[in-house]
Amino acid sequence: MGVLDNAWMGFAVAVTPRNLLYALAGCLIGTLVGVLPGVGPLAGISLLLPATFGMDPAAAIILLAAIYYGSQYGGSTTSILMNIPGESSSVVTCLDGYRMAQQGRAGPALGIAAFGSYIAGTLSVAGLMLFAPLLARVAVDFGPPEFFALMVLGLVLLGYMSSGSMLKTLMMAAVGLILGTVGIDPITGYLRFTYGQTVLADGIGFIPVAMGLFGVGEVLYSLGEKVLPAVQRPSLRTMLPTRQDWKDSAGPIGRASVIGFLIGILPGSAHVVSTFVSYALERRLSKHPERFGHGAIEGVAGPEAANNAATGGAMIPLLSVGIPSGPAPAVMMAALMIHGVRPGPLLMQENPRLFWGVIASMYVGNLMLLILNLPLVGLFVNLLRIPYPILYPVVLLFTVIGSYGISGNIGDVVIMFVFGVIGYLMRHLRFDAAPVVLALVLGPQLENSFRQSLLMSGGSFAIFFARPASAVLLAAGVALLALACLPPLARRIRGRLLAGGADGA
Amino acid sequence: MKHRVFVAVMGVAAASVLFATWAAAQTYPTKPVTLVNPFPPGGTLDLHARAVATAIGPFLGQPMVVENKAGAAGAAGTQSMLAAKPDGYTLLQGWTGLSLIPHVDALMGRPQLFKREDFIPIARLTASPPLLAVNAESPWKTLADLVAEAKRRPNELRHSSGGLYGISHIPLELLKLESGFQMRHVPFTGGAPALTALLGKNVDASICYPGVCLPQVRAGKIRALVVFGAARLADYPDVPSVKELGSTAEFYGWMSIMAQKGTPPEVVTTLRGALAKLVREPSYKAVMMQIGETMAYLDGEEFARAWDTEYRKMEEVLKAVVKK
Repeated sequence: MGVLDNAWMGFAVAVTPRNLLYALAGCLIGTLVGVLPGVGPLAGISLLLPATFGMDPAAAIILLAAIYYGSQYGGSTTSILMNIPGESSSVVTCLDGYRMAQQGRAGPALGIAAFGSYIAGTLSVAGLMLFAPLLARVAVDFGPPEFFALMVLGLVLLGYMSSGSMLKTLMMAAVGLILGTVGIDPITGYLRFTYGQTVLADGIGFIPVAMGLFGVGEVLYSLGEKVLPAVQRPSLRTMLPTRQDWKDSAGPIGRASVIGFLIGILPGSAHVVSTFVSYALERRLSKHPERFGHGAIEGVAGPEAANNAATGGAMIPLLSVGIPSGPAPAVMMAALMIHGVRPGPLLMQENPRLFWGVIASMYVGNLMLLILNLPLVGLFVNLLRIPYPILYPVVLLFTVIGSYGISGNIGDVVIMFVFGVIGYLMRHLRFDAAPVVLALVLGPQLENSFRQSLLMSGGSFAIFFARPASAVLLAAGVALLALACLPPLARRIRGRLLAGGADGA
Repeated sequence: MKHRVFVAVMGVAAASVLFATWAAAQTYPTKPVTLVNPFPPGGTLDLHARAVATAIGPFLGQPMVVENKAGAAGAAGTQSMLAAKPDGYTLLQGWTGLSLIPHVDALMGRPQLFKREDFIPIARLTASPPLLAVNAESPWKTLADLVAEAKRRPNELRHSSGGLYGISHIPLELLKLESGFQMRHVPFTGGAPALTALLGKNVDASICYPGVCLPQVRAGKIRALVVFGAARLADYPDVPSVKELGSTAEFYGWMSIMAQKGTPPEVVTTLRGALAKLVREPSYKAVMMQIGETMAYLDGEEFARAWDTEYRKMEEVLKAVVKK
């Protein structure tokens, strides 16, 4: 059966009125949970899991998958409008997205984010369709050494994200790494820095820290300002991306789709890495890299496309191997098992209607989300008109809900407020919050992969270089690091030479 | 006169308190019951908890609601359940980790978050023995092959698990203690990464539970060498049991319902009755089959005895395994 035949069968399943309705419901719910800061697709999917018990399995997965990739569309909204990332994969969008919103360009930012997400989402589904079996192999072969190398690359790229002082960025990244050590060490079972608090046993969560540093911190900082920025009154004209915006975004979206898709395939990966690979790449390729961090549309288009492509890629381990690549796909897998469908390598053969139906429905879902989100841009931009005395308490409310909702532990809310105060201080001292949360996500994975690799190799470091993928990624990381250090070094050397020459002349 | 009035009032007060407790216990449950699942949504325990909650409604007379409280490999949710009032309205989805975590805490020199004595076991519902699996491309066809290789090359073979000292780590340690071979342990965070490591040939062996590994075995990606139970599993007719091979390394991943110590006996009796009916309910049994879990019902008293035995055995095993 050729790919086209399969696609035809898939669309036949996806385009039935009932499945269309479920896809739409999933897109709506997904957008909603994506927009709400702190509430992620996992919450939405888990809530609806019992409701799917009586449904046809294909319909159940269509619904849950729509929530999953739909949430990536909504996640950019709070990042751009309020500088609050909904998920780790939305943090990078805050950097330039929020700047654009402050410049009155929230509409174009949201619009490009929506289009970029659509294009990337669609391309990643196409990739899923054409390359699933092949890529499934890759997904499984990617082991701890490759993960470690990828995390090293990610950390190096963090340095590329600073628009201000590189030193301050690296300091904040170091803080993030230190915060990442809190909790039970999975390799030895020792508790680190938990001081007897069970809430810290799994570490300081990303959500409380991000909600605190970005959300609560932002609110506190704004309240401390003598003069608040004027409440915006966006006009219709300003809500659409300009032709220049489109031209600038085309390349980033295309490249980010590939990057996001490939990184999304990796089970258990940090999709967040794809967002900053994209950001760093666009910055390097740009003719005006100094615009990044001050409202460059490429800095929104790339990362947003990358995180959407990553969710498409994430369906590969689930559908082709039967291994969920994260907590949200894990719930989808549970939904399949409950319906008597055993996700595994044989799924495509045993249940082709389900397999291709879900894939086809992802095309449809992405289109629905685009149609849904574009008019919503106008609605969301008008959120900026809400006077701050009303907006800020609502923002705080959502951050509290988000933190408490993780596992019903008030400790997470306390952590959030502590980081809120820290975020306020950081803003005053002109320290960026993004590197902290990104390093917080990367750090534990970096450390675990490193130690798992050494356990695998019996203590030999050669394992990182003997395996091709890991060697290549590490080489790339080292090369990028060298490239970053080169200009200042070259300047120093040139300076010395010139001074020496002047003396000698 | 005053004295008699006082006594009369006290008598009425005492009687009404007794009546109220009696009345409350008689009519338990009068509101929905919460079942705490100390793991994130989507896992086997979660599916089981939801299956129980859905099917038990008619037998309890009140709805049962699942609450996910994940954290610290199940310890956080367990702690929070124990902190709730022992009135039968907050129960725990229990699992084999309850026999492991207290000893690990004690051996690592930190305060025990909970102990066996903190619970009243209501009933055990399932007990699934895990399987020892190797990659299908590896040369070992039987457990004896693997053990021989491990003895020939001590500490060179590696096995993955979903968590240190957890239910996918300890079964292999039982084999190690019994047969005297050594294998390096590579802990991962969760069953999925552990299985991925095996599929990708990054480790040589892994423990996995029947529902999870069936698709991989059927697709010919992994090979199961032995099942840690007393008998072969229906889904794996070609896989010998440890008992057949003359080993005593039996291990079960069980799921049960637990109440706190101090729960009134009448409440416990009501719950036991409801669960006894639940395990005969076809819809519940069907779900267990879908997720690959083996039904193994043991009512409260019997389960308490079986659990005591396992709890003591695990203490000995962990003493040999846990490195401080």
